[in-house]
Amino acid sequence: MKEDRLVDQEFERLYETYHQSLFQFLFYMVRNRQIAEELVQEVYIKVFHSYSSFKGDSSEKTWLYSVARHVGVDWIRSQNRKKRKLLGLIDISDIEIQSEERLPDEIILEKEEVQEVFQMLGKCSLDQQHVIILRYIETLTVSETANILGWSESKVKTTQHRAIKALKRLMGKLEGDLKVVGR
Amino acid sequence: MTNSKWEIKLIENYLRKLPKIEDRQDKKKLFELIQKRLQHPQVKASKKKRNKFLPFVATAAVFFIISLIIPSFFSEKDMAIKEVGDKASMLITPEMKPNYKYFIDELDFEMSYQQLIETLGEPIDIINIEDENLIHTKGYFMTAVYDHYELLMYNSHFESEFTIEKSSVVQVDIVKPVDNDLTIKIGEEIKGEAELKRFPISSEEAKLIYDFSGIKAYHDLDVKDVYFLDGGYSPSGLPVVVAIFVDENQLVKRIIIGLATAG
Repeated sequence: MKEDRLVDQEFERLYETYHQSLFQFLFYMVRNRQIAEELVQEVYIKVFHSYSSFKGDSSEKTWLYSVARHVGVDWIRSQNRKKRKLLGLIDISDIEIQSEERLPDEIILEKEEVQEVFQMLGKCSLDQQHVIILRYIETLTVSETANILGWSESKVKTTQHRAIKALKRLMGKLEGDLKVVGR
Repeated sequence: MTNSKWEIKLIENYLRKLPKIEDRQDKKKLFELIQKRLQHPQVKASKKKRNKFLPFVATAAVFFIISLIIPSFFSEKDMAIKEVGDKASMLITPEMKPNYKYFIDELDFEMSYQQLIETLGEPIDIINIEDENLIHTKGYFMTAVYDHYELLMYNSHFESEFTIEKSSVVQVDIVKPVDNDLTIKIGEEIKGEAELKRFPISSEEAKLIYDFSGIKAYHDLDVKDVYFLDGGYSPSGLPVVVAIFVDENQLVKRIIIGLATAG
């Protein structure tokens, strides 16, 4: 079918141009390879379904990233919905217990500081995480990042700054903890 | 830990050292899967065994923070609950926005309780909504009643659009005698409305009460106008909004203070 061939060609082009970047973005967003593999399919499905709605008022690249972000965020939301607990004051210590995370294999291979920064990144707010991933891992510009997140450039900058500050504090805290534990 | 700039550089370096991750799936197979799903939309993504994926900062944590922050907002000069006899009053002045923002900027998401208290002062009250009946959820949003205030809490990170529906909001009576230039009181007209951004409800677009960072909020309430104040956002990027709904007689029907939860 003619349409199939078009999809085929389009897939080929998108894959060659953006696939690995989008995959990496998803990986760091959901912090898990298997899930990123599932979600990357979802990104293509969404893209093919809404290609006509791509208005060209943003670049194709940033549009694809924003689709990927939505897909990732939808997934995270679906996970959270399962876990959502609404009520009451929860002791901070309860929250810390929850944040144990099994590191992906590719991170375990890295130096300890890099592992730590990955771990602490997971403790930042989602907005902060997204900015960090887009800026430092995907090495996108402030303007591209703003476009993807639908923010102003100044919000990107402040969020980035706050994220780094948060990481700094979290890593400092970790060091403190390690000293106490004597590891 | 003294050299702050140096530390920041160090962290940036670590971030840049995070490994490049490549998809190892076979391109052909991936394309086949996608094509199958395009032709048969009911086909779900190929499921593989998942690792237990651990939660993001719990919504509960944000409730905790919010519970500390809200009373403190109210204790601020420009947006306060004042005891007037046995009635609580809420005052929102046009200056609220910059002050509010400045105020929120003082806070950091990771602050300890002690640090929060040091920054904000003792909270006059702590919200602890234990009665589940007071929490209404709709999609990823929820409303809760605190004292006389209706809090609309929504998940800023996860939802790009949402609607405040009749069924999703909790009706509350807010009685507010106020003594300043801007008075917002349930059942009364807004005084000093010129200072407020106003969204008349006459078209589809006007149903939109909030559009920020791609997050859009609509309502289908039986009200004529929506006045809207945006309050800026918290350190972790959580927006705080105040929406005021008015009926055709220009009487305030409800006040919603919207706070985002972090998921």
